[in-house]
Amino acid sequence: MKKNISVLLTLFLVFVLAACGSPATETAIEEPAVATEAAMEEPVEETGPRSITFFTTEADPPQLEILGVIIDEYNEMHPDVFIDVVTGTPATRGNRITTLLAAGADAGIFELEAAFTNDWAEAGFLLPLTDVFENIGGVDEYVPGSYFETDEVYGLPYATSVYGLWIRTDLFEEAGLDVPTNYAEVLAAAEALTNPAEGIYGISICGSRNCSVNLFSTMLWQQGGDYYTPQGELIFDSPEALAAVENWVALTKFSPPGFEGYSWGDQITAYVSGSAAMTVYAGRLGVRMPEQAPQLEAVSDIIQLPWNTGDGPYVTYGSWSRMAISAGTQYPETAKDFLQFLLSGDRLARYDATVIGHMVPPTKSVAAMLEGWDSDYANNHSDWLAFFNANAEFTNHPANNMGSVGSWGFEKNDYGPPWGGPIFSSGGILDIMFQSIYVDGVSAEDAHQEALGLMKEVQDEWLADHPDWTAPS
Amino acid sequence: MIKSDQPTKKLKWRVWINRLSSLDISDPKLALIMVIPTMLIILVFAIIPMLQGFYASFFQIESATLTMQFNGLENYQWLLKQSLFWESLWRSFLWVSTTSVVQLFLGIAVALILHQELKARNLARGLVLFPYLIPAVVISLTWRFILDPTLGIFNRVLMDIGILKEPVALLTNPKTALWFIIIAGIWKYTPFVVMMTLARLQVIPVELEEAAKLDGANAIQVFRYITLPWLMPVIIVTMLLRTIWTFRQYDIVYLFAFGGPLFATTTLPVLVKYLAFDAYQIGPAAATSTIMVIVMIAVSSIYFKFYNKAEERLN
Repeated sequence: MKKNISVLLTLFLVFVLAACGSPATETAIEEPAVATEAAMEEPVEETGPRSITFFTTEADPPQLEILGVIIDEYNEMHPDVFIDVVTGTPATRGNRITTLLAAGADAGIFELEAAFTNDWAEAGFLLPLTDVFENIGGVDEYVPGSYFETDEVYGLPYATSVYGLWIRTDLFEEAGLDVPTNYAEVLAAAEALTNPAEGIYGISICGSRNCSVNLFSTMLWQQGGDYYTPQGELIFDSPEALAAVENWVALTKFSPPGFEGYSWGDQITAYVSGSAAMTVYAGRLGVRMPEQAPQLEAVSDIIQLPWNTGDGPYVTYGSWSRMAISAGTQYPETAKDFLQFLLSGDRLARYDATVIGHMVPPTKSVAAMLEGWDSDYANNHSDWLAFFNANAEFTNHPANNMGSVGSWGFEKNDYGPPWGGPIFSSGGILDIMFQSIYVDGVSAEDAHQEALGLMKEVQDEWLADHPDWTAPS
Repeated sequence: MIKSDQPTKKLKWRVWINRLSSLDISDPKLALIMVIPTMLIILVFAIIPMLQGFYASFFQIESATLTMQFNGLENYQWLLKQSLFWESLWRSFLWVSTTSVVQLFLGIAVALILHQELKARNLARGLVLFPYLIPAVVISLTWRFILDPTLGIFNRVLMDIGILKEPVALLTNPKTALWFIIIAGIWKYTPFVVMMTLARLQVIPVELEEAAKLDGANAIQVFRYITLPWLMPVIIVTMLLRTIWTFRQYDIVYLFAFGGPLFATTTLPVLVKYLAFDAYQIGPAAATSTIMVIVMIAVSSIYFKFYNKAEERLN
């Protein structure tokens, strides 16, 4: 018996050790190369029963329901194709997909992780989609900056959210204020409309979980600053950047108490509860208003973020949600065919209309369809929908931006500094810079200096580990 | 050949089943067979991931491609130089020790009360368990809403009765945020201690207490010399479980204040999440997890020593 137990234990240990020595390094490097070569071969006719995995984080019941209907329509034309919908959360998306791609598994169709897009393309994880892009309408049809392209198009967009300044027109009128058109006016309005005795504050701005950094970036860009040049040189130490930090902090003085802990949802809760005269948000606020505060619908409007202090370009916050196909997928032509079906015509319109106004379409024809959509929201707020469509091309994301803004204006690129994780993340250097100002009362200048030192340190460390790195051209 | 093979296979199965049936309940072979399924589950879902984490802690890992480069102990060296790591370790200690100790005393007290012959005792026992049944996410969101300075009832009530002149943001104050999480943790998990203690109280032989009372022992002496020694092994096991679960608890801690403000509620599990999924530093995150395992093994061994002593005293 003892001998048997020893044998079992030995087998157990061998199994554990074998599992422990997973050859992740080799897999990650070698598999994509093979997959890319396969993808470059002449298309092979794909017949017979085929299964395509479709990974999505758009998992609200109405979205899944419409997706199911669209899949059924596709199946009527292609009964042999089974689209296997797998849902996940944005928080786990990057790791789940990376694990599949790095292991050379067939990840099928999936949403791109913005921060990893460039690395995935460079590593050969993604199937080129230029032909699908052209079939849908190409550059004439797509909103500039919406698709992801290097040597080929690798990511096709299905929606973005477009941030603007929501304002309570009734409170502005009561106070005799005009709609603000620049930073000085918005600051003056925030101060004038703050009335703690009545429980109303000038502007609801979130202060935690990176929300502050993402929204602050719009002010930085509009006031002529940025974090890095396209070559990766740190320029956040410019006088414009410091001024933007100071201006942002000045505006938060008129936020509701506890804004330091606000995340995205808290920020709009403050607005729909009537506690804020202004807030910075995308179309979801417009969706929530009829449900939670219908009395605010008629007295709310959305305008471009008026942060400008001079001649800076207009840039707002927003990130394009894109889909891609794994380079190692078993049925590339079928996957592309379904993706083209989903991302064009009234299918995309129906999909984006599930959160109308918040899911702003990437193609001009679908945007026009949604402006005339048959729904209460579209009938009552076609002006809001037109606003979102018109401003979609000005969206930018700080973590996925290296030198998009400069003296030339705004030209969106799609790569972020590869050392950017500890800088732009939730709880990262910039997040902590703002938290130390809000919570610890550190001066904007000192917090900015501290952040600059840490940003340089992180960049230097990363570059020391990656001496061969060059900025994407 | 195929036809003749079928009866042989069936026969083999029957032989196996007969052998199993003939095993005595105290036979080590039977014990091994019964344990194997659990061992396999633990192996797949706990030991292999843990060893993978240990392995990963010696590599620099690119998040976007998962390419790995061996870097020896660099992740550990880097981590031990970070003040955030030491602060998180301290907060973990504070969170675990405070919640566990208060839960222990409160749990024993409530269990002793519920052990008495009370009216509606069963209803009271059910209600005491209630917080333990509520999911952590619900508790976190509810408390966040209660404590919200603009919309929450906490500030509103204190302002209405004149204690506060203006609302206070308790969850965004680094000095108070962790304490409110500790209070919520105590509230939620004390019922577990109650449950364990109450179960043990019900198996203490009544004649021991009666004999002590006949000998003139008062209530405190009965508790000190009869009840407590009987409770001690269960208390130690309960504390061991609570310590392990609290130390690695992520949900309630994170959802209250997302690790902020200024990392004021970042305990080690929250730090692991931050390093791995926000800062994309998988190697240091794996090193943090490994250190957590080492700490827990050390703490558990101390508990087991106390447990053995308590059992010896009882015997």
